This record gives sequence, structure tokens and C-alpha cells, in this order.
Amino acid sequence: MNISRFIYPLLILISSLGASGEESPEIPHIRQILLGLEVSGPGAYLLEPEVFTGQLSAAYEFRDHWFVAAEGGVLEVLADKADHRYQASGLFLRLGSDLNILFRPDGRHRDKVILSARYGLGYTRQEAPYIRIVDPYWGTVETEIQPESIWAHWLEVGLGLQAQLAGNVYIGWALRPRLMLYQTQTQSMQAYRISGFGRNTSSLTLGFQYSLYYRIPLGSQSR
Amino acid sequence: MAPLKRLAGILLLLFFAMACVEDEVCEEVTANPLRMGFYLFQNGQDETGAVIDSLSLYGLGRQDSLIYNNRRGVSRVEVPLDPSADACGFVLVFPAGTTDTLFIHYDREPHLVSVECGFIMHYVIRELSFSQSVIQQVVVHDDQVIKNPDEHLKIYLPPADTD
Repeated sequence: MNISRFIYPLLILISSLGASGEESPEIPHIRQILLGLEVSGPGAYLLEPEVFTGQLSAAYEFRDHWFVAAEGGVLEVLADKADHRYQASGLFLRLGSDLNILFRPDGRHRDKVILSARYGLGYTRQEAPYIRIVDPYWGTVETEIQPESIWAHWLEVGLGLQAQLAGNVYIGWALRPRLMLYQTQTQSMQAYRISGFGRNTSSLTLGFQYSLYYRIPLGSQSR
Repeated sequence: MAPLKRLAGILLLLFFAMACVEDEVCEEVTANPLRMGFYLFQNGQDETGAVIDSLSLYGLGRQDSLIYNNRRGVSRVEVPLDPSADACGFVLVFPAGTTDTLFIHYDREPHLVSVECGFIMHYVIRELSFSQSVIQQVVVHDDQVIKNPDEHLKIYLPPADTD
């Protein structure tokens, strides 16, 4: 097992911090657009088939190594069990900025170490048409939860790595703590998942994304 | 060789991500009892724990079904709240057969533990009423009955009815 491909950018970063005096010919930096497809959501679907999340992203390098980024996606939850039926669906959008802190003027590699900040906005609609709660002492109660909508917004800050797989195809992960700023107070039940935020168990959660990226060079040389 | 290393890295990280998914035992996560601790009542409320020599306890109207049956050395009890009603009562039978009844009024909210384990009821305690044959005072320590490990109610007893 080898995860060096993913640790490698960090090692380069560390070594580049200490490097000095080594002259290499500079290669003009070419700005880019990165289009991303999150694969960890569909991967998790194999383990928890009741929950599906999908996400696309785009990042535009508006200034050398600085990106303005947008991520959008969907959430679908459908649990149809003997003692409960629950369904939820939602959309989300995250906007923010990335900074690639792994860059070298000689352009010897294109891997990235990304610092990210995002503002997230999510809409989730949930209902539970059938709930049966069995209490061994008092007996069984059956109830339901009518459809209700939840708006939420939150902040994310984190770190990610992107490694070049081949040509303009990259793969990478991002680890971002998420801090809930606001969510609609529901009448009958707290949302199980917030679209784009994840499990709604705490106002602070840890988000993990694993994505494939396609790089589109913009061709404009900044130097 | 390099593509293989990359693939290995991908698989390892996917495995890592999958390992983060919690395994749940539904029987454990769907239990949400009300916890009551016993304390000595002397010179007002005291935080000294009380141990009851013998205690029986059942739900009001359910005297045929004891939750505790002459349990020895009791300092804390856990009881289920009725998920089908906004209030329920418990009868506590102390040594020498003296009884007290405790009524608990609460709000209910279904809570989805997980799509696999389903729902439990969360409760917020709103009001208490109790007889005072033995019990001196009952205080709400934590009104949120949401699978938290803390005591929710503190029941104060005179020293004579404990060890």
C-alpha cells in the first residue's frame, strides 16, 4: 500500500520552504479552471444505500494561485424500513476561495496543497410518513412527520491536496471543519442531514471530500 | 508501476473514508431512559448521594409490571418515559412499603437515530408533581432527555429512609 502520491505534495511543500539558492529556469505560470466531480459521496452510497450525495465544483484562478470556487450538489435520503419511512432531498451551494500554497517558479510539478474557505447554503426538505417507536414497557406508538423545509448556512475552512493523475486529470481530497451558523428551527423533528453540511448532530462537523478534477489551462501567461 | 501506486493510494483512502462510518448497535442507540438520582435532604438540598436499602418502582397504572423489584442498594434509577403520551407517572415503593408517586410532564419530538436504526423519542421535561410521603424534593437537573448520560432528576430523601 502506498499513499505517497498524496503525501508527496506536502513533502514538496516542506522541502521548498527550506530550499534557497538553487536556480532553476522559471516557467511562466498558466492560470486555469478546475472542474471537479466528488466521488466520495457515490462511494459512501455503496455502504449506506439509503443516502446519496453528489457534488460538482468549479474553480477559476483569478490571480496566480488564487481561485474563486463554487460547489453545488444534491442530497437524497430514502429509508423504507419495517418500522419507519423517512425521506429527504435537498440542494446546496458553497462559494469561496482557494489558495494553492504549493507552487514553485520552475513549474516542475502541478500538484497542489489547497487552503480553502467556503460559505455554504443548503435547502433540505424532509418527511417521515410512518414512524413506529416500540417501547418495551409502555408499548408501541405510531406517528408521522409532515413535510417540512430547512434552510441552513454555514462556514468551512480547511486543507486539501490535489495530485496530478495524468495530463489534466487530478485527484484530491479536502478536509474541512464546518461550523453551522443558522438552520431553520423545525416544528416536529430536527433534520437528520443538512444538504451540503452532512449529519446534523452538532453545529461543528468535519467534512471530507474526495474528488476528481479536470484542469482547463487558460493559456494566458502571467509572467 | 506509478498507476498502481496511485490506485493503491486511492483504495487506501477510500477504505479510510469508509472506516469512518460508524457501526451502530440499534438496541443500544434506541434506548433513551430518564435517569433519576437519589440524594440526602438535610439542611436543604444536599449533594450527598443517598442509597436506598430496598426500592420497587413501576409505571402508574402498570403495577403488574415492575421496573425495579425490591432492588437493593439503589442510588440511581433509569425509567422509560411513555412515548405515546405527554405525561406519565411512576410509583416508588420505599422500605416499609411507603410509596410516593412522581408525575412527569414533557414535550416529545421524534428523532431519527440513523436510517438503519430508526426513530427514538426525545423528551423535554416541562413540569413535575409528586407526593411527599418520603420524597422531600425533586429537582430537574437536566430537562433534555436526549440520550445524554447525565441525571435528569434529583430526588431528595430524608436520611432515615436510606442506609
